Amino acid sequence: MSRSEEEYRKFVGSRAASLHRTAYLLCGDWHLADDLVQETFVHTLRHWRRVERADNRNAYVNRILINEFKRHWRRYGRLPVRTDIDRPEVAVPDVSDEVVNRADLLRALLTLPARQRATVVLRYLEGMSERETAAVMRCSEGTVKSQTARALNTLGGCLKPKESPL
Amino acid sequence: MNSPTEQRVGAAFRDLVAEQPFTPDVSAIEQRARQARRRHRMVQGGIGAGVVAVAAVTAVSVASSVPATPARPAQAGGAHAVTVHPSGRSNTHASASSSASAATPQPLVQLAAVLAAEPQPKGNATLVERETTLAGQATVKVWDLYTDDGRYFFSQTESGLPAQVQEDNNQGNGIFAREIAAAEYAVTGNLDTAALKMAWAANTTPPPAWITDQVKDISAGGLQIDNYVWENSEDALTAGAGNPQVRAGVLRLVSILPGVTVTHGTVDGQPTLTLTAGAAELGGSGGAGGSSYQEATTINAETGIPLKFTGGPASGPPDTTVIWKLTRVTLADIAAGKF
Repeated sequence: MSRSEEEYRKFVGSRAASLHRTAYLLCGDWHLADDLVQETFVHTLRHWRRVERADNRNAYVNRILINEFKRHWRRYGRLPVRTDIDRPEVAVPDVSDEVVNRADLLRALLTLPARQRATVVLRYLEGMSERETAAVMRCSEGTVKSQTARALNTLGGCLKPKESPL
Repeated sequence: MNSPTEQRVGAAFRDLVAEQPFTPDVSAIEQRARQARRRHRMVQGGIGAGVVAVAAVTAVSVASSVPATPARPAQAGGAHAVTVHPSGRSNTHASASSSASAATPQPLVQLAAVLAAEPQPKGNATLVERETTLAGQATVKVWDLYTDDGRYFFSQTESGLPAQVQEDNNQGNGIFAREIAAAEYAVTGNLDTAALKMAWAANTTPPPAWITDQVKDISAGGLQIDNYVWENSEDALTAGAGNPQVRAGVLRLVSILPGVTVTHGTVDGQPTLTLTAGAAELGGSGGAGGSSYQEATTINAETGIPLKFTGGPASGPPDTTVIWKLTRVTLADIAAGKF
């Protein structure tokens, strides 16, 4: 195995779980998330030299994932949001149910327009700054702000009231 | 991430995705990447040899394949005649531009002019039977109902649609209404303004400077605005398919996208135009995400009604095929189950 191949495999290993989580929140389906991440890594490998040279590899690969997701959304985005959301088989403590109706939140997330959805997932799951998100989304920081505000307005309805949405 | 709401959304997101195991199949990834590279090389290599070898064939196909080229005189010219396609059809289309454009008026603009003069059809909504086929998978048929004012109702079954209307389960989110409005504006309005309206239709905020600035350079291609106009125009074409004004506006807008090519053909005996997007229209100008993907929408050449969408690799069969069948209806009839 060449050094480049080794580097690539290391990169896949280090990024797979995070990309998988992001993909799930983008599409709402674990199986589809598997496919999106697999396809993202295919593109990453095809452009590996470019990825290696990128200032921020993670941002570059997130961009590829977002492209894959948008492509999918373009084709099937209007299929209904699933109400029988597959829960992970691994038991998860419902800590957030104190303040959030989880199924409603996911449903609301999946009804957001693709750009808004990607923006809030990058901001609040990946923890990206507005500047990083803008770089991945190829838009201005102002757009990130406005997309985020609108998305939070929608998602805020799923947070049980102790405060106003924003 | 400072506000309590943002912190709670972040925590809820992390909770939603907790503990789901995933191991990528690296050998499958590597094999897919190798296949893609090989296919890319074959396409690239084949083009050079093919240009000479199939010159006679090209001469025939040229007559029925022309670039979309712009409707605006100010932007018409050389930039469009040298449109380069990922599939390497640039020679064919460059030739088409010079040999066919004199004899054949721009098909999209010509059709748009015909449609713009058509009266509004009866009814106030369009029912779309949408059949999606994914490569190697079963076909899925669903029903979309688009009202003329931009509302959108969806059902997996035909019989389920009345309930969606009765419950006013509008899933349009205002975006279709704005896309339709942009297309209607494009029929007689300034195309730069129309392009901006269409590109920014997903937003309710004023368009920012970065996209406003791109309008004046749209004929150069390779801009984000190409992608935004193409994607939103595709939406408008299906959401407003029942309205000839919307179809006319979409065709005028697509005609200014420099990467789009138009090919004449037939489907089930109907004359058709197939609008194939270039790399910039698909957001691939930056290279990330792969440039071999191609999208095409086929419309009836006389009515502009969308018939088919295909998406997939530039060479080989499409990954996705969508067939649309349209019927004009009234919302009241659908709610009452009379259709």
